[in-house]
Amino acid sequence: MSVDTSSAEKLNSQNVDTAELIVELYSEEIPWRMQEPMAQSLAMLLATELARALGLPKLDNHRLDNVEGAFGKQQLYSTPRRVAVAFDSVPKESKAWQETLKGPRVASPQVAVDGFLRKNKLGSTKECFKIEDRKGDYYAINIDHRSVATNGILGEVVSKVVMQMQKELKVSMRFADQSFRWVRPLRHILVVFAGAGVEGSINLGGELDQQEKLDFTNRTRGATLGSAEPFLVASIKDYEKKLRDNYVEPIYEQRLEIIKKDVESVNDNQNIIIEENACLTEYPCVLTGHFYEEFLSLPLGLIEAVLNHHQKIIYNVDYSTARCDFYFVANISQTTDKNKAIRGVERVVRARLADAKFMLERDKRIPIAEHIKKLEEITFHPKLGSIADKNSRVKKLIPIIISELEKHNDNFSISKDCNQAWFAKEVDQQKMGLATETVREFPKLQEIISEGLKPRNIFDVFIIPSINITELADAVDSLITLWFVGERASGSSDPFALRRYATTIINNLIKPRAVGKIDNGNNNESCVKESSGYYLPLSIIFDEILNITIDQGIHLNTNTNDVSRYYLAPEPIPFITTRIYQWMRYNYEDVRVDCIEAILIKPLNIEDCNILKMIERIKTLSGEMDKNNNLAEIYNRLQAILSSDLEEGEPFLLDAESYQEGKLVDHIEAKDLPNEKLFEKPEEKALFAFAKDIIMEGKAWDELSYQKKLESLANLKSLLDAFFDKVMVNVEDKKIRHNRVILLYRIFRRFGELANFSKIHHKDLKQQSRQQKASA
Amino acid sequence: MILTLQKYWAQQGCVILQPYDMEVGAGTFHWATALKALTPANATEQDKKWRAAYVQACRRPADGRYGENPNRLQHYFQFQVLLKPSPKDSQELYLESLKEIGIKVEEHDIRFVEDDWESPTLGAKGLGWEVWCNGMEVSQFTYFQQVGGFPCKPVSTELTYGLERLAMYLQEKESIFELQYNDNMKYGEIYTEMEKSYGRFNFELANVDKIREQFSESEKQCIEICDKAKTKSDALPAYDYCLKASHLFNLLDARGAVQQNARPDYILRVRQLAHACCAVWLGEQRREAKR
Repeated sequence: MSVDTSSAEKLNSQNVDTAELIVELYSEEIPWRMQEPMAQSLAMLLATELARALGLPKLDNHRLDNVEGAFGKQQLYSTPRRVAVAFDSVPKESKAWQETLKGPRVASPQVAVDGFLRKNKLGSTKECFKIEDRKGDYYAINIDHRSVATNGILGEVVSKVVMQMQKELKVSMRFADQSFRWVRPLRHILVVFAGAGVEGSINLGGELDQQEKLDFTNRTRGATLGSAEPFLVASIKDYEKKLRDNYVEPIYEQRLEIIKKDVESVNDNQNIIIEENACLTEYPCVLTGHFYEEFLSLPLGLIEAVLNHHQKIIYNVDYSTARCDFYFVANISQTTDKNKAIRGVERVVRARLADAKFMLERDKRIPIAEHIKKLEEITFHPKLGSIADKNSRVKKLIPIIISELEKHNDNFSISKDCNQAWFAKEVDQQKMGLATETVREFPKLQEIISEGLKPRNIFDVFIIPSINITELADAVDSLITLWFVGERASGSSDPFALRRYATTIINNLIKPRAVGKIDNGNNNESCVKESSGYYLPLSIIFDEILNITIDQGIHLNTNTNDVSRYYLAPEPIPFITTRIYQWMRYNYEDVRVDCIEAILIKPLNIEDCNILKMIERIKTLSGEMDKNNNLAEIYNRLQAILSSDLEEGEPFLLDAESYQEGKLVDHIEAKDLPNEKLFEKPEEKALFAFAKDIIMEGKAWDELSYQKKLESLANLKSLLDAFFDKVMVNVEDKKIRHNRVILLYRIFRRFGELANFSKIHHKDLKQQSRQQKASA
Repeated sequence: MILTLQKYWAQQGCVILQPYDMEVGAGTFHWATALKALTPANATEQDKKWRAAYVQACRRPADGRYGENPNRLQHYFQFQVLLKPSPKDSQELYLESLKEIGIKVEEHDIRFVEDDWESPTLGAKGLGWEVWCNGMEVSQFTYFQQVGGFPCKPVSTELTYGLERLAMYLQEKESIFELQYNDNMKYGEIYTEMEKSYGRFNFELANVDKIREQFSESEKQCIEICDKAKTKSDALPAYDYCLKASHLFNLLDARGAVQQNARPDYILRVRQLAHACCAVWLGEQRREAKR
């Protein structure tokens, strides 16, 4: 985190006399996630304010790397009780400098100009000069600043920074009768510059007593529980050494290292617990304990929940030796006898695991039917009833999904054993964990506990492993019913996990499957993936679930409670397509992103959100675009000429979007066909002859595959080039011109049927970079 | 242990009170904390600097396990301390009290783990920590920011010790019921039967319809007292009925008689009562809640 950059070197090269600055804000225990951000914000604000006060070039205070190096080497410190920053070369005084202050625009109302004059104690605008920028002339003045001693301004700078940080704190509290707010009570502010304390204070406010102040100090404290007396700080080295002597490792990364050194072979998903522990201790000391098989019969997820989430303990289960080692990061000094603490921790771990085991065993003794009965009392959503209500919807939806899947997919079949009764049981048992005491205590374990409680029987294996119909139906119910009671996902907020439900639907309907590696000619190996899956007409399914929900007497946010097909259900489909976009990017790295957009954004004529077909089309289009750029070039050329003004002032809107909306401005109607007799030039005759299937309506075009359609459009390239070379569209004779426009338009409209070509980049950037790589 | 804590906190200037004679879910509900944490504009000097400590028996019907679970009780004890205004050395005072009961902070891992406390029924919240001793939560440490929807000015320090947990720790026992109450009696010998009977009452016998009626009656009574209140201390009898309603709601909840979607409504009704009582205590207008 410490970087030397040029401005410090510049300071040194100018022989500016510099000194070390340390600022520490010492408080009671800061929540762990806030420690580092607070240290960063302290560094950013301090550097910015200091630069401003010393007349140095302006810093951008929103990014830490922009302030790094501004005052030499910079070191951040954060522990549970302190956030601090040290700069190793802050100028001892500022040079005399001139500031240009920009005032109002010359054209501004007189009030604004007067205000500027008054504020700067100026008699008239004659004392200002004018500067010009993009928007016009401004008044401006130069202000001369005399050289100031840093020591003299630091107190004010630090106090301004603390007040600014106070405003930016997301969580803060008042203390006693102070009006000052901090994350937890602020105990002292250490400011040391050039080896000595700096005078200054912040106002804590107060109502009952008199106004209280917190004076700056040059002393700090060691660990809460080890060192009694505060000690003096003279330099950065001194600060770090004395803290370490007093059981504080002030640098977060160092504490992380201390813990990692002592914790061996732990899976990556426990990193967050290690990080949290590094923020809970000022001087971490790793204690190790273990337990044997007594608790290893518990589901691993439960052990993880108890140790990781509740106890913040790092663990390592070895089933081969039936032993679990765990690491407890303690806040005790290295020198004291650790036995009491270790024994204490082991006792607590045993008690917590015993508690979990007790709960789970009790849950297991309760008959499954009782758990399921309890689902009636657990709310799924206030407007959508209980989990039992949800399950009854899902049970009705499952046979519909199965019949649709059977209707549209020859390769779909399902075992006879998976009958309606079997599914009904499956649906209930999937959710029964919610009714248990264990899940009430550990809410994230619903699936693990439900699974653990299920009785095993021979039908438990799905005949088609690639599709979990219960899960699919449940996700459809969740997504659609939540959507139609008004729940939405936006930005980082998705309280009802709608995105997860949409992804579950996609994952169940389509599976990418790697079928081998190929060399695409540029030494660039890529994984070829086939997608296999099932077509499920989603809008039918969505309508069905809405009808089932309405039959339950649930009121949905719809204009009518009489849901008719194609009326409501398509609403959430764009939401699903954005998920497909993410899914494609994740699963098919080689597919061009612009092609994904061209198919997904404004899905065109793809029957019932056929995910399988969409994905096939994306891949085909991307493959076609990888071959050559013909399609993009033809599209752009046609679009340019058709959008240009045929008659002055009359826009000719013919992009895919207006085509879709049936908005054909100007003279052309969708049914207009070119008149062969009006063609004059051989190039237009040739084009018409060759592209007849494209231009005219009919089976010849309709029965082509998607790929063939793309190919036949791409094949027009040379003919169109010749056409544009030799044939003038915008001719005097209106009839001829009109006929030529119709000819081009008839070709152009086919692009709109195949994809949203406006999303296609003219040049494939990826291909370009690949070529560059190859030639290099 | 209780005697030691009482002695220690008495030395810190706390009045040592007795448990409140109402069913409450936590020591915080005692008027000596809930109401006293709020300071009326015309408060006396004593009111402005209130320090109290007491044991409180707590009832949480839904937490009972018929005396079977060695870690769970529906009836247990808390030691509660309120220091107003929050002293600068709150943490040091607390750590000192641990030393007094035999936990030397140098020998154990003591840590303050962020826990922003909130009581939705009391309309109270504060910032603070759970205090862990070797990984076990032994106390709740809170800087009270708000009670009954009114801001605490000044802010108080509230400390809650879980007495059974602390005792289990000190006596190195793995079951509450194995705690040595005195030289010849165990905790279980005194309380197991009670846990069984209350378990049966809380989960099986409590008459749901009657309790619903009683809830509504308590609610009415509380509001009636608040409406007719003449002095700030008229909040006390009203607050009794707020506590009754709160406990009755907990009973209904344990009995499984509160439909999930009715829960927020019940909580809001209790919070409204707490708010009404606090408004009387402070001499302020009460606001109607948005439903």
